[in-house]
Amino acid sequence: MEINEETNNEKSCKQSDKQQEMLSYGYWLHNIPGVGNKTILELLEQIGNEKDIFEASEKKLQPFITSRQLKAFELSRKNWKPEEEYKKLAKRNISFVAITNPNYPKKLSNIPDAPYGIYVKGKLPKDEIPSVAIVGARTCSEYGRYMAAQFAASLAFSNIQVISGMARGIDGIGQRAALEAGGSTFGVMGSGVDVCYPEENILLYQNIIKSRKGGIISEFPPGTDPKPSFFPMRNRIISGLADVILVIEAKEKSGTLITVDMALEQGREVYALPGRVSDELSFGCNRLIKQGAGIAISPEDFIQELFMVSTSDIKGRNKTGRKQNFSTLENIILQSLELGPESLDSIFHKIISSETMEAREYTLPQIIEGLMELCIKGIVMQENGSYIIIQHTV
Amino acid sequence: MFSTITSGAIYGINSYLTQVEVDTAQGLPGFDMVGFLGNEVKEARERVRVALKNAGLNLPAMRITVNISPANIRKDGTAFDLPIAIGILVSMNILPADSVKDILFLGELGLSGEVKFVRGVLPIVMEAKKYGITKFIVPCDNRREGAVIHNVEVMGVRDVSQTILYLKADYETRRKLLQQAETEEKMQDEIIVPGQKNIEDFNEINGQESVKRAALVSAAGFHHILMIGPPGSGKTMIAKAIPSILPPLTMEESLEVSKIYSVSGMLSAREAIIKKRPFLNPHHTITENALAGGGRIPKPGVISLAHRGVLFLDELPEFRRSTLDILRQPLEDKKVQIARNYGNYTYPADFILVGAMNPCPCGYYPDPNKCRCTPFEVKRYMNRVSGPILDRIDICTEAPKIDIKNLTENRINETSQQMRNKVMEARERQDFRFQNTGIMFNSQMGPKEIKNYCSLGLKEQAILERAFSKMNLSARGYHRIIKVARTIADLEKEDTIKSIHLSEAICYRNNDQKYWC
Repeated sequence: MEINEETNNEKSCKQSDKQQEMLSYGYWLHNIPGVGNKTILELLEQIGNEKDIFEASEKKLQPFITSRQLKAFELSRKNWKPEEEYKKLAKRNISFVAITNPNYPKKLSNIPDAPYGIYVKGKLPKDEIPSVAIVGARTCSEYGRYMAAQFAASLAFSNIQVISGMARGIDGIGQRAALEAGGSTFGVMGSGVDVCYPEENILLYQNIIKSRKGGIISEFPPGTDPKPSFFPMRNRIISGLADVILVIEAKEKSGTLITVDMALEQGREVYALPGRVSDELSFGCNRLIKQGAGIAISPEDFIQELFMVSTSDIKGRNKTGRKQNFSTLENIILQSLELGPESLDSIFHKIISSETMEAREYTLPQIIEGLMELCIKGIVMQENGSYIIIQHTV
Repeated sequence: MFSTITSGAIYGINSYLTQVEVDTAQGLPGFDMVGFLGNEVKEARERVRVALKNAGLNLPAMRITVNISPANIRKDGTAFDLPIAIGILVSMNILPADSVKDILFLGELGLSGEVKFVRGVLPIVMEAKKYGITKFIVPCDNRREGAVIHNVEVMGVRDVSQTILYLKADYETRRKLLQQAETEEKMQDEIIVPGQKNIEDFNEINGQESVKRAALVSAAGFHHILMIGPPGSGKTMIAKAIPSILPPLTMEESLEVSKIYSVSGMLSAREAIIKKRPFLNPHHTITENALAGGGRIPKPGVISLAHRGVLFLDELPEFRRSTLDILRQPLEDKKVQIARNYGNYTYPADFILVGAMNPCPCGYYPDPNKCRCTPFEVKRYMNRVSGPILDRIDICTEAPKIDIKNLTENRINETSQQMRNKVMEARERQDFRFQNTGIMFNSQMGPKEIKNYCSLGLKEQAILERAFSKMNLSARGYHRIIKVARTIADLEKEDTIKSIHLSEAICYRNNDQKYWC
């Protein structure tokens, strides 16, 4: 994959040689088959730093690991040249950050079961800048799609980092919108950082790296293929890196709600976008609200409430609330769409069976013309056969 | 003795005249047939021998040689049985040579001597008339088919004996026998009244106004149309009603269509000519060959049987992709060419393609409350319909879930007849516009014609440009929008395309944009 990206991670350059060395040993430690996060943390506590572990004798290690792990230790110690391997990794523009390293995101290190090491392509989220995770269903409605994009763009305008899982649906849409608005966004993968999953998001993946403001993050070693069991693990990093979780759309039993659970465990704030009670895709969100989650009623409100940034600071947004001139027919059409998405046919029926004589006179072609005019103006949008208002007018 | 009988054969949907030459001579008794014959024709030997025996006429112990000329074209089918039998009878001196002069014979023989239905009588009679042949003897089940052509005398025969009787008779008696056959036919008609097939009428369909409107536009400009909607939204019903708003077949068209049906052996004894627009509704398991036409000697496929009518493909994505892609060339050329060992066959295939499909495997996408399909499944389902096919479909319309209110409501809907009148008016405008251009409908316009006949005003141009930039329309849709807008303008009796027409056309394009982006 030819990606125009930074030749060297700036952060790693600034680090002292000692830290570099530790990271190279950490990279080894993180890649021993059968040795997991908990074991590594335990060893660090009992034996010392990464280098000490590498040089530790069998006897010293024995009390803390199983015999099988010990074998793996021996084998990898023999075959793995930490410095070389670490250089190889850097050549691929992937940096490794361990929890012992000062560059490791503070927010993430505070969560229970924080990953010992993470791999990064691009940048890591900055600790001092607030970050919001936008999560939601993979199968989303046009409403969810639109809202995810709106919130993400507003966050980007307010210089808030957008974190998500780069999945299909809400995740990808939010990140794409944040990128387009010139913001920084971070994709947390359920595979190695060099494996783009789902493949259809390859463009997003490349653009995030190209943007030089965001990055691809994963706790899985490069080259790891995605597995279903990896995704809940990934979700804890998403919420771990974020200050606030914003749930756009979720069904009652949704993977998104796992992220929410983790976020609550980690003490993150959870906001949900309300939806109609009859929409299955909003069940999860509405339930969260009932349970006490914050209500995200508009991007401005959301941002202001959380980060005390006033709306006037949000540049580039002028659409909502702008008064527009509409013809009588356009107003009638907008009225018929007020309660939610309607198909062309039901719009037609509503209008011809309405109470005002004037409205009843309209023919189907006329209504189509008005509707298309609204579509062109960007007020109404077609969502697979039904038309919805995407921009509420005053 | 030597005799020759005129007969005919079909080649594709066209036909040619043949001479059946029979010679009986002294020598080792035998029955030989030559002339590049297919198996069915070769088997005629046994059928003719036994049929004649059962008619009381034993073949003489002589050497019989039959040649069917032109001997360089391969012959198939069973229509040569009767001419061979008659040829033998003439060369046996049972029939005078004069009696078969200028008569064309067609017919299959049964062992009992009866004369059975054959394929392709209509095209052969049409062809023979060009060569000045006006008398025909055909199986009685094919009589009407032949009699469709004016100024020809077609006698229908039941069996060999009747044929001999007719041929032996003088002029007056022949007239009488002919009239007798005609009256018998009429009496049969009275006994069995052909059941009026129930065709759907648009006034039976409540709701779905937008789809009905799209169907009207489609019929007026011969645009292919695709309906997308959940199960039970009335897509099939609307498709079935489309033939009822197409203008009736002209005599010329009717003969064209009947020829195809005749070659396929699909004209029944009572329905000599196809007067209704064909409506073909193949099941989605149909094979490539059945759709385009196939076989060693290709028979017309479903697309040719739908010529001048409607080809309705229900559940479009369920068709095999390779089968659907067969449609690419016919949709463009309005005909299908099939190459085989024995030559190239061209069948006409000018039809309106009406497609209906669900938006996803379960059928309810994008209703999130009902649809359980993943985006990938939806995408894969939609992608079963290939881009080139979509490219040729001008109108894409959404048939939404129907409201129960609509079904119970007693509303007066526009009848098919009313809609048909509108269609015919729009067609007249098109006829006038495309005089001497070789084009019949708006849908057939190329870029040149679009430039000539579809000039847009400044306002309309602006709308189109804005629509393209705002609504992410693809460039390939540009011409289609204008063509459809032209048809809509014709329906509204407007000479220039106005913004209202353009908007509607954009609406029909906008739909598929969402599904296949």
